[in-house]
Amino acid sequence: MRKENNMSDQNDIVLTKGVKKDYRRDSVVVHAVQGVDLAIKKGEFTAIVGPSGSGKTTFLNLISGLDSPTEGDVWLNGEHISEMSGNELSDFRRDNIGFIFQAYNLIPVLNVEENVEYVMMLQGVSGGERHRRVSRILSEVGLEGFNDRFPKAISGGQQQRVAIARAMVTRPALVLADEPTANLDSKTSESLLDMMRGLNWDTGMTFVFSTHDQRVIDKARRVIVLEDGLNVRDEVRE
Amino acid sequence: MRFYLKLAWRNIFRNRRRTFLTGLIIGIGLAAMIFVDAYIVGMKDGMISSATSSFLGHAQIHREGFQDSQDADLTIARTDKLVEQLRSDPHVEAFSERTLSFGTISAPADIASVVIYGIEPQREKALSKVDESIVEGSYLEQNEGALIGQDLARRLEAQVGDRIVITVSQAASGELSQTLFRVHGIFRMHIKEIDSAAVFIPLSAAQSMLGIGRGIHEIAVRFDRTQYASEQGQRFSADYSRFGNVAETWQQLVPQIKYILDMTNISIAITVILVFAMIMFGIINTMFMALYERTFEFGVLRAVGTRPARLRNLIVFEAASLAVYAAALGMILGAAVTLISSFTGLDLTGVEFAGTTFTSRIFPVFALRQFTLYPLLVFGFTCLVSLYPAGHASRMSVAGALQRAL
Repeated sequence: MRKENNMSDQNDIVLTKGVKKDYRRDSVVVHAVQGVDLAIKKGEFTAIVGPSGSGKTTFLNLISGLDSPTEGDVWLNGEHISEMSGNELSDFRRDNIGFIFQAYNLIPVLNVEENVEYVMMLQGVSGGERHRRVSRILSEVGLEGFNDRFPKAISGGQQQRVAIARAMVTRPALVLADEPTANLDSKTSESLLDMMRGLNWDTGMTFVFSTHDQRVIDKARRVIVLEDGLNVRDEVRE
Repeated sequence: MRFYLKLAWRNIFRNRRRTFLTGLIIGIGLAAMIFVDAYIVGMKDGMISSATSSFLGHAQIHREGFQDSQDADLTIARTDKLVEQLRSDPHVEAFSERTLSFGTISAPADIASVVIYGIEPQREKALSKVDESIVEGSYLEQNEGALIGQDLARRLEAQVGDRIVITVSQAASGELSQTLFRVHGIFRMHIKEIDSAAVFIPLSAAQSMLGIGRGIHEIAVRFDRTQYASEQGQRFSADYSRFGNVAETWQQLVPQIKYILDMTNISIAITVILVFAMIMFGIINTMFMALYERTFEFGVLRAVGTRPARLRNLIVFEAASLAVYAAALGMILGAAVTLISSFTGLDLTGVEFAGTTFTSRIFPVFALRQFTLYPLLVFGFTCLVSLYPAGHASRMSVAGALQRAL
């Protein structure tokens, strides 16, 4: 039986309670996340920051259902995802989360349009509707007319724009970005961040970044600092 | 489904060199299966042909008990009725009446035990290859003379035109009967037993020596098709086993050939297993290499909502695409190699195998199964084998897969 989310505000898109994640590296047990309680509200533009090994990516994996916690509970969009089966989690991620990874995360044998429409295809959206939505989102990310190009034929910045389009085309409740600017030059990074900030503003979609890029931190409205798997600071900016 | 097929097809050509090499390995395996099968079919046909067309025939009729006792008294009953029936049988292309007895042959240099066949020269010509096997002298034309095997001729130091004496025991009285013949021809049929211990004399002369009147011991039959003996052998046996006679096809007369043919099926099965083992390792190796290269990509696909089963299907589709490519390559390669080798064939003339001596070259024979069943088996087996790497990929941790590339 799934736990009801009685303790949270209806505006919370992400809620974690006592989340811990241990894993074994060789014969040593690593405590990657050591009991994080956190609530992220709808529409936030949040950066989870911290040094390498602080548990940022692990925490992001936990709140997106890519990994399961050793202990504690995770609610996403009101659903207790810690207890979902593999297929339920796949479907939940498909319908509720958009993912942006580091650069070069597109499927190389699919062209721009096919990459962007992939999640909609999983959702069973009709071909015509998919094409309409892809054209609109590509226009929003400044890639109008790039539909037939393959990833290797466009720049790293343009690939990341395609990844953003893929993440946002289904209008998910939450967009998770793991080091989205890691392999990009500063100008491209700035441009992408401005674009995501604008989309966050225009659509009200929630963005959560894992990063140690100062440019991302500067743009964030809320900054959560993790150190050794613990939430050591939570700063909301006006 | 269509999308995943498209994706799979594109994926296998991401690393063209690897796909080509893997396809080539599988293709060579399939080509080897086609080639070996074509030669085995050819060899089977050759063995049957060597065994039946030289002298045996596709079937024979004897008096019941004659095959065991070889008693000269046991002549075929109601020969006239059987001959009439054989003449009107649309599946009988030729037949020849024979007598068969044991005796001795004496020449100035030596004496030997032999099997003496009394044959009707013209009828025998239409059925067996005795006439084509003459290496010295000529075939029996009139009811005179004798033909002896080359090995026997050497032993007796007999040559064409020499006189020989054949001695047999008469059927009714058991009295010895001797007749002088001139060697009309020396034959070499590449069948050891016949070349070293058989003598052919005119049917009437044999009947007279044996004292059996117009009696015969054997009717050898050739059908219009070799396969008729296998397909309708039982029917033939039933139709002609009358009046106390027994009709048998070559499978019953020389069962060892049938066993050998059955054994060739086992050798085909072994070839298939070896080839499939090769394919299995090729596929698993390629799929796992691709899998490790694309771990992050699979992680992304899973992260954005692809169910494990769909990822597994994608990998199976990739294997299926590879199988289609490899099967096409294998069929072209197999057909080409088999076709090229069919110009020369394999010269096994005179080679004795399981009691049968090949009397002509072996040529590969194309069969429908080589281009339908075998490619389908390769396709099905490839898909089956791919379930292992596909299952592995579908079970991998998404977070772990995404971490792999970082």
